[in-house]
Amino acid sequence: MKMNKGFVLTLDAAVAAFLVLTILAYANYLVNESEVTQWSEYNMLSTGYDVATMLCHTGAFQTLNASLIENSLQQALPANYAMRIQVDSYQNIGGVLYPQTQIVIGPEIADSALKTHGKRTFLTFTGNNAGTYNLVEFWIWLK
Amino acid sequence: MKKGIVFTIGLALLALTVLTLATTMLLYRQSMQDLVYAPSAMERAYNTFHSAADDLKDIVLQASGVAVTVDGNDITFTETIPNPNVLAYQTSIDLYANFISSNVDNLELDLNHLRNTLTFVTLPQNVSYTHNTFGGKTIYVLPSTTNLNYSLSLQASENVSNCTYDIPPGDNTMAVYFEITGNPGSCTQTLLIDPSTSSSIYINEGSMTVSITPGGRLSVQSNLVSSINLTTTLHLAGQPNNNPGVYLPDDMLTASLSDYGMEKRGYVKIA
Repeated sequence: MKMNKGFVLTLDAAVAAFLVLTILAYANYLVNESEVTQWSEYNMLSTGYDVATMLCHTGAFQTLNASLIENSLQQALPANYAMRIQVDSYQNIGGVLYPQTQIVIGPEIADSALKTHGKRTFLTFTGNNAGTYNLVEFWIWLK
Repeated sequence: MKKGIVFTIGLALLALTVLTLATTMLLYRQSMQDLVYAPSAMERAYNTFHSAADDLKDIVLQASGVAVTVDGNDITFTETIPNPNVLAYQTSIDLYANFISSNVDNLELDLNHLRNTLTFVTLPQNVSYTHNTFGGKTIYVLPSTTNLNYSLSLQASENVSNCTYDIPPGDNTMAVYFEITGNPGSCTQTLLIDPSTSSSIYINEGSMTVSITPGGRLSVQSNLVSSINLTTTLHLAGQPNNNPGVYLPDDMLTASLSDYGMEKRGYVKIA
């Protein structure tokens, strides 16, 4: 009888310890997961903006030429990232902006939980006039 | 009975521990989320701001017809007065404002001053080069101290028949180099003036006036029939802060981070 009670108490203590340790481990996992996911998003976003800014400052975007932009993108993008870029151009015709062209570069957007999206703008000029007003949207994710 | 109480207290303590742990975790995650999302939001705001800043720089340098160069401590602005690019420039600004409001969130533009007066600020010396009305007949230079010199070079396509200098006596601490070339006729003069008084140069009986008013404020007003090419150089070597840069004012662009109660504003570097 005594032996039986001791066994129950030991079992109780073991179950309690198991429960506490499991909860602690799960809590730790959740907290770490949250940090990793968000910091990765920040890194991706930062890389995406850096690449978009570089393509703008080197004049690749201003060519409005899909293959030239794609070549520049391949050179600028780190190997472990994939990026899709869409450039929507609006032309100034008589003081009004009209949609002109849409260029889409890069693979289909992956169905990945860890992807992010950003925008920037640029202009092209014809003489003294701003000829096109362009919106660049990018989606970037880990391969 | 005793064991039952110990068991119940043990269970209660365990439940309390789990509850405390869950609460702590929740609070920790909330604070972590703010810490972790904020850099991404700031990255977006930073890039949104600088993207628009690049666009405005392009519009000003390519559409306004005002050329800006920085050579050491000498800043030079060159333009035609009245500026013939005013329509193209103002149309570009208007279209850009519409384009941004339709396509970019979290970016507020206030381009009225840029559109109507086109002001440049030289920093860190804080000297403004501006227009009464962009496309009008008057430009101003508004320094924060009188510790600078000016060079003015004007080219007119009409006859320059006479130049009159009204320079009152004073401390002669400011040097103004002035030259105007007409077709035909010209005047060239290096003047030493007192920046605490008003000095003026009148061309063709006041058809064109260059004035320096107290505080070293320069204005050039042209009522000549034809337009003039004006080159204005600010010599800032005497200023305490060197390495000047030319910027657009810091009240035009605001990239907002409303979720975090923050916003990104700043000057737009031109040269």
